[in-house]
Amino acid sequence: MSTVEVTTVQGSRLTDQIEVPSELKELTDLAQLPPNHRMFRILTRTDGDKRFTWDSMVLDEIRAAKKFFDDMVGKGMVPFRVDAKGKKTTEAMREFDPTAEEVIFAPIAAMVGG
Amino acid sequence: MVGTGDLGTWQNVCVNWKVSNSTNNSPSITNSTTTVYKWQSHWEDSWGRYQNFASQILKQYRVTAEYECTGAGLTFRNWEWECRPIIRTPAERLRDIIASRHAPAIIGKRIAAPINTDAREIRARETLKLVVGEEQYRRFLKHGFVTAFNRKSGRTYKIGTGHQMTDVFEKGKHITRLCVLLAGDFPPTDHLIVRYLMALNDEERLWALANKHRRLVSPQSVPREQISLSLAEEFKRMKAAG
Repeated sequence: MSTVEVTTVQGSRLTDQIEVPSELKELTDLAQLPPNHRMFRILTRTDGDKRFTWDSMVLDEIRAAKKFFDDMVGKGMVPFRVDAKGKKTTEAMREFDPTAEEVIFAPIAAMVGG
Repeated sequence: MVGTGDLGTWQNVCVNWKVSNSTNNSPSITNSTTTVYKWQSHWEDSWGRYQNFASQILKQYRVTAEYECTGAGLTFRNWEWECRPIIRTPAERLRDIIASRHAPAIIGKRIAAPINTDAREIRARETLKLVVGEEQYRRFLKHGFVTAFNRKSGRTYKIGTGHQMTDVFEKGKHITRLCVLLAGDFPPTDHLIVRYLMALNDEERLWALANKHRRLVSPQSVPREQISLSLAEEFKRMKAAG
């Protein structure tokens, strides 16, 4: 099972690992997003942007995605909704929305004054 | 060679020169050349020698005079020159003042986003394209930064990659620079993405986290505080002074 590293305390280098449910599949660099799939993009310190996909037509995968979403938000990551086809939008999400085409998790807790 | 005028100290000069063959009373060649030099009085020539205008300008016109003599079938023997400063009219000086007040005050240089082959950075740029849109992304590749306009506060943020500072503008004026970044080894574009998202969604937190630096004044422009007279008053003053 793969994990994602997240910063837990604002401005510190303290990190925690969040397990990624097995229903979510990691998207490799050259792979395309399959039809009916949604994507989580996570900005991480070690691996850069990690991308996980899940099928929006399969209930188990939606449940797994929701659990992962809640875990991430609970650890301080801030989710932003992004529309498909490069249409820009930067709306912050309060709760999981299975209709969101893509979600970016920003590590706001890792931000510090320079 | 006979010459008059202090060529070395004037910045704007008009040079008149005359070549004559005094030994056999052949006709002389005269010419008048206006040369305007501004802002500098010395430069290095192509051999790295330090030249001033006085020596260079005379050398240049002497060569021209010799060339014209040869063209006219004459022997170059004597040449005379004189120079006088060009008096700029009040209208011309006013034009200079207007130009100096209209100098661009914001952008000194723009640097395109560096080409990066790191897989993490490539993925980060794909994410950036999604966040800012196609048009802004193209601008980012060209200029190396993106702008974010927060409708609520009316502020515009100029955000660069990595550890670059974020410039903040309000009503077209540069008000401050924010220094805020991601702690750790994140790809440079990830810094930009997070700052961009915070500038649009959580501005207060961005300001709370950032170190603020005072606003910049471009060296090219005349600071507004130093402009005491309006253009009309300036013109009157110059006209009265002659």
